[in-house]
Amino acid sequence: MRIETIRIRNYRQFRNLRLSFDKRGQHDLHVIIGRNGTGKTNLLNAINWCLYGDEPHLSRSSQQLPLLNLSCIEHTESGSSCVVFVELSVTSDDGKQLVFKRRAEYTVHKDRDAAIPQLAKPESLEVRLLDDRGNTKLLSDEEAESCVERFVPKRLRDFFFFDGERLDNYFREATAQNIRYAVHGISQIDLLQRMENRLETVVKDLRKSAGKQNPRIDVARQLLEKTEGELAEAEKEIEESKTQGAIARSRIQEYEERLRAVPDVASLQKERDDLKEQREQVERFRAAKVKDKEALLVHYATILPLWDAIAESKRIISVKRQNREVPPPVHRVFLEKILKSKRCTICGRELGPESEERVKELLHDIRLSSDVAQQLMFMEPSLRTFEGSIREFAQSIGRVTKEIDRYESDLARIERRLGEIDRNLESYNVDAIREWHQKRKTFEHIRAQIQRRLGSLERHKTDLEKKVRIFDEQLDKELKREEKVMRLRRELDFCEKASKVARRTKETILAETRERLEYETSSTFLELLWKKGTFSGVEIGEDYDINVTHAMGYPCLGSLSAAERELLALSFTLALHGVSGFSSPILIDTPVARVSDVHRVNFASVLSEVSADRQIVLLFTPAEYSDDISGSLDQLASTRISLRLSSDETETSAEVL
Amino acid sequence: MMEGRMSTRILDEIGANADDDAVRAFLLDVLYREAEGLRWWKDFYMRMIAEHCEVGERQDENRNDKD
Repeated sequence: MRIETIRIRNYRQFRNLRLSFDKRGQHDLHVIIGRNGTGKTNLLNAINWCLYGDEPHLSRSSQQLPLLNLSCIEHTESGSSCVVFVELSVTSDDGKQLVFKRRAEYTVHKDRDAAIPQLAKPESLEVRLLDDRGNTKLLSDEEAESCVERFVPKRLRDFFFFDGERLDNYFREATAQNIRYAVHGISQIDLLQRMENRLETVVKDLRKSAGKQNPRIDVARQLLEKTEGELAEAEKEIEESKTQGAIARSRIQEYEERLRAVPDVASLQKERDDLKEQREQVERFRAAKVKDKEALLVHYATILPLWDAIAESKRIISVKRQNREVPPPVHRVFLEKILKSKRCTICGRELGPESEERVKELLHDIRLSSDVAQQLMFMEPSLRTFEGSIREFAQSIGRVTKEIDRYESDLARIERRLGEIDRNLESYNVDAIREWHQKRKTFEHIRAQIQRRLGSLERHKTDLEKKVRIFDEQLDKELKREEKVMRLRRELDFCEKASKVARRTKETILAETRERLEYETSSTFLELLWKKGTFSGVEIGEDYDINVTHAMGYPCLGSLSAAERELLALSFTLALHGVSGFSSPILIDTPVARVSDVHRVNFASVLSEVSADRQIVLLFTPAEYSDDISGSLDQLASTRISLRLSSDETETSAEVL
Repeated sequence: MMEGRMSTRILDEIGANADDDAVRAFLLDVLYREAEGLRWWKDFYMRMIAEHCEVGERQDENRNDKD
């Protein structure tokens, strides 16, 4: 399936535009380049308007403008009408031609101040089907819409017509519901579901008809249908609870991811408090040591100034001793006492003649010294004591100073760390972080409540299922008793059998599709990424909630970069295409707007690869179509089109490059 | 037009799940019409059920006769 041409008349910037997408070569790749405002996104809107009648990618500036082209309004006389249409020519896989065309007619009313277009005829969609023989079949209304649904189902269109600028938000905003719709749509489970629902309605009608034949049948029918109704209610409530649970889970995950990206505020606060306490303690120790130092200085204040005098005195004594002007450091009375007792007062031995002679000589020498010399001699021990004290002071003061220095360095370290923490906390909005913690807690509480509710609903459902089986058997018995309803009973049995087969088929395919989708998305995503080791895979859960698992094992969808989310969306789309077999074209506006560096080239190369199997139309701004992109796409592109806006900014034209 | 792989998959799976020929034929007929877009579905369903149910009955009778 591919788009052959797009024809646009009087739609927004496009007064009269025709774009052809002929395939040349192996790649069905088409590049459209246009500056901002030339209408790239409105081309996407034009396709959406043509197929679905809405414009989901309308910019704020375009929202304020009429759908009718401004130049057309200007050149239309007041009271005259103008037709807007967008026509999409498509070729199906089996070579059939389809033309989707939506048109609207406006009447332009002009006065001196303004020109106002008013819808003259409501918008209408028609589809022309051209078969191999050249016969044309025209479809309108529901038939035309049904044809569009088979081209690209409306609820799957976001996977076929992307806006790169918004694509990175897709999985952030996506609920399990989107994925469920996609899976149901692509696997055509909808058809089976519709069939099942219709068969249920038929069964009810048949039962009613049987009930009219016999009041006992009608009573059994009413009882059964009442219980079936209760069961359907319970099932609906279970589904709703599951959806609510999935929302709560995704919100919890969102807040967990947000909190994972910021520092643990609580532990930083605690460290800050501990450091402050430590700072007070160190300051106390430091103050005590400073006091010790002061006390030492006070204590030694009287001795310290004598240091020089003591040194000088010691020097004089030493010189005098060298000149033998100072007697040996022995007391005269002491020597006289030894001579008198003829015994050494130290060791107690008697003095021999030789020793006695030596003591006498010593006494003689001492008698010879002056009184000053004596004084000096007696002064020397005191000087030594003072000197010792001063040396001790130097050691003590050195030790205390060192300790004070250590405390000061500790204080500086604490101050540095406190500064770091403060800066860290200031760079984050602490109140917001606290709020995230709170919200996570709230959603965890909600989820727990939902889980409890689900448990009781499941039990209720099992009870109702039992009741339905019993009442169904009762109805069956009543039906068997009544000969008149034999035919109806057979048709009822038939419907129930058919319904059972449809349900079983639906369940099998659904499970299979989900698994294949998960596998394909995961393998493509991991292949596309340049950071190969960061993620371990993509998961699509039982409830269709999609997630990316980090290599460390935690879910990290919310913390993916814009480029990664875009790659994920592309992987999911390609997986959808692969699993469904849908060959509808992919159109991407500003595909690499949020993608940078390595991802850009990667993205471009993947899209070129994909274009070998299906049509890809890419809309770039000139800045986006950088050398690395054009280098890989210029050679492959079948068509390259440039969009240009007229000087009065009311009309866009296209030029094939 | 849009019969992709999954459509074939549905047809195969219905074939595998339905052990009754008449039910299988009914489901395939209805499925094709649903895929094309069915406007007056109730009449079509009732008619299909009646037709296929009758075929099924005849098949059962033939089988019983043979037995």
